[in-house]
Amino acid sequence: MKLVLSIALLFSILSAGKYDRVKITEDMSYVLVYHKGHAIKIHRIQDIKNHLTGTYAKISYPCPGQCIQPISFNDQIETVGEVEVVKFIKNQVNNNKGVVIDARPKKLYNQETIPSSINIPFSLSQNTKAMDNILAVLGVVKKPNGTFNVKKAINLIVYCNGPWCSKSEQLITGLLKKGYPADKIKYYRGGFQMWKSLGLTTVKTK
Amino acid sequence: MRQNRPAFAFKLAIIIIILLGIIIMGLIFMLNTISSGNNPYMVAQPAPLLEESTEVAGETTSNYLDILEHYKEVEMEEFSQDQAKEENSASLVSQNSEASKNAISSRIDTIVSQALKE
Repeated sequence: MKLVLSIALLFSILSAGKYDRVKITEDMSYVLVYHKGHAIKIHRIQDIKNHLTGTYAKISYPCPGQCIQPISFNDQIETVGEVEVVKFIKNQVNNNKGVVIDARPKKLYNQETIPSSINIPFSLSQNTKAMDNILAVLGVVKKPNGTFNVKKAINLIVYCNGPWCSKSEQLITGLLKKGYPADKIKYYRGGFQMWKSLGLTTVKTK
Repeated sequence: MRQNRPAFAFKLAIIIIILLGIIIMGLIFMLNTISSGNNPYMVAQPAPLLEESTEVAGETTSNYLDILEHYKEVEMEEFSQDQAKEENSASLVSQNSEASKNAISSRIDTIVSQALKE
C-alpha cells in the first residue's frame, strides 16, 4: 500500500505543470498576455533557491527624495498588490478594459518592464498638450466647453520603481487634475522592485 | 516454500517494472526540462534596477552606462499567437483584443516619444 502511495505521489510530482512548483496563487500558475505583439507568459521564477541580485536588490535610497511611500496617498485611489495586478492584466487588460502604466522614465521602461504595461513617464504630467492627447487615447474626451467626458475612460494601474518611488503619485495627481476619474485609477505601491522580488516575469524592449 | 516462489518472483518483477518506469519517466522529465530552453531550475536572473532617476525625461541617469554594462538577459518567453489563444482561451485573449491593445499602446508610445523630443 505504501509503495502504491509513493508511486502515486511521485507520478503526481512528475506530471505537475511547468509552473506549478512556484505558483502565483494556489489556483493560478501563470497568465498569458500580449506585450508589443508578443504573447508573454507571466509566472514566477521556478527556482526556489533564486535570490534577487543586481541593483534591484538595493534596499536603501536617500530620503528626502526617495522616501517610503504611504500605503495610500489619496483616499480616492485604491492601492493594489501583485495578485491584483496579475488579475487586472488577465481580466481587464486582456479584454481592453484597462491598461497598466509604467510611470518610470522611458529608458528604464525599455530596459525592463512588466509585461503588457505601457510607458507614460511621470515628467509628462506637467506637459498639458501631451497629457490631453494621452487622455484622449485612454477614453477621456475634452468637450468644447473645457469639461471632460469620462464615461469611456478605461481602468488604470500605475506603478513606478518601488515602495520608495513617488513617480506614480506624481503621474496619478496629474491625471486627476486633468479630470481622470479617481475610481478608474489604482496605485501599485510595490512597483517594479516588488514585482521582481517575487520573481514575476519581466520583459525588455529590444 | 516452493509454492511461494513463483508468487514472490511475480511480485518482484512487478516492483522492478514499476521502478524502471519511474526512472524512465524521471529521465524524460529532466530531458524535457533541459531541452525546452526554459529550464525552471536555471532561470536567468532578471536585469538589475537602475537607481531611481530624478532626471528630466529624455536624459539619462549618471550611472546609466555603468549599469548597462552589468545588464543581464531578462526572463522572457514568446509564444505564437495561436498558442497563446489556445492556452489562455479562458482569459479571452484574441486577435481583436490584441489589435486594439496594440493601438492604445502604439498611440501612447507615439505621443510620449514626440513629447520627449520637444
